[in-house]
Amino acid sequence: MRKLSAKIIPKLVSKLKKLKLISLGFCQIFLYLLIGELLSTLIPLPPAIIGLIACCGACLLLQKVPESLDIASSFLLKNMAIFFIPYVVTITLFWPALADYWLACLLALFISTLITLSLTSIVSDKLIERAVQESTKRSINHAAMDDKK
Amino acid sequence: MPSSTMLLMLAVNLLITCTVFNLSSKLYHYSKHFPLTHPLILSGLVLVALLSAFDIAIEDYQQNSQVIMMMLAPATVALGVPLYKNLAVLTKYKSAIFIPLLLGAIISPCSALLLLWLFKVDSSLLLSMISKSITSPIAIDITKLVGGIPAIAVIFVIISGIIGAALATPLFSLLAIKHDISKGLSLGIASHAIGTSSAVQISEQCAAFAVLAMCLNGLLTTLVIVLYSLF
Repeated sequence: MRKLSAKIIPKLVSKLKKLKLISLGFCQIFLYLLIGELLSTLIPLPPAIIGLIACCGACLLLQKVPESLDIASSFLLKNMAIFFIPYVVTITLFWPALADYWLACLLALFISTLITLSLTSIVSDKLIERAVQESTKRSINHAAMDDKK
Repeated sequence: MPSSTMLLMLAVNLLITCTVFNLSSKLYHYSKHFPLTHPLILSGLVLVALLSAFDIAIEDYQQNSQVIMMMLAPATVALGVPLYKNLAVLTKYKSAIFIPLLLGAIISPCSALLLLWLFKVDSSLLLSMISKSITSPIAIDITKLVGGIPAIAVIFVIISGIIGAALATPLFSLLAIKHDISKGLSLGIASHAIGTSSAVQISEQCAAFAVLAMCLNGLLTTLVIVLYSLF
């Protein structure tokens, strides 16, 4: 009995600690959301986006991500795709409004998304590659200059 | 409806949605990221099939999944954390980020509009297509400004998000994209928050740049449309 309790209690304590941290993190996230909700009457941006900026700004002020916020945000982000499912299902409600044009719309969306994805990724990959090369070249030059000194 | 049954309905709804999603993510994993088995497509289809099999109206499902839909706002706020963690990388590559961002913001709506125009589609649908690559809350406002139909704009937004998320993995390996930064940027530009949710699966850096691209694309397009509607 004692052995069993010795095993279970530390486990329970660590679980509770994690629960405490995660709820603390959620409180912070909802605080930023509240800030976003309040500011959205002044700034023409959706509350969630203002909250995102507020969250990032708060971390900048603190110079670190609080552990509680980190745990809560990674939990939310890991499961982010689930929150879209009701929206995906409700597409079927409005689908009839597209009537005869659904195939054309689907095709246009598919092709344009494909073009955008491939073009932007290729261009940015090339640019980043160049930036990386330049920075390594610069560091090599610096090293050479240091050697001359 | 008494509140206890309503709570039960909410719980059942949450349980079913999560189970379907988990199962379809497993299948997506087993099928080695085949685009058509993307969890959002698969679980959407399965749920619609289930609802019609049990004769449940989609409006009822929507009513009972308010909790899930509401969690999207805190999840968006949570994206601020990866953004903060990658601020140093972001400032380092700011010149390499801005050009693809601008390119994507222009090409994405223009290519869709051109294609629809080629297909001879109705002009109200054309106007609803402008905001297709922008996160839905901003897209609704933009569509109202240009005189499109918000409900249809939301459909376009969600579908382009799903397409981007489903195509991303095979496309990036086909094009041999090396940097997570470029993957994140293109996902954020082409498929906003849904693309970001699949960028989270790639890496934290990828997620950060997807967030950045999503936000800047939204801001840029809003700015252009607002200026356009003023003159």
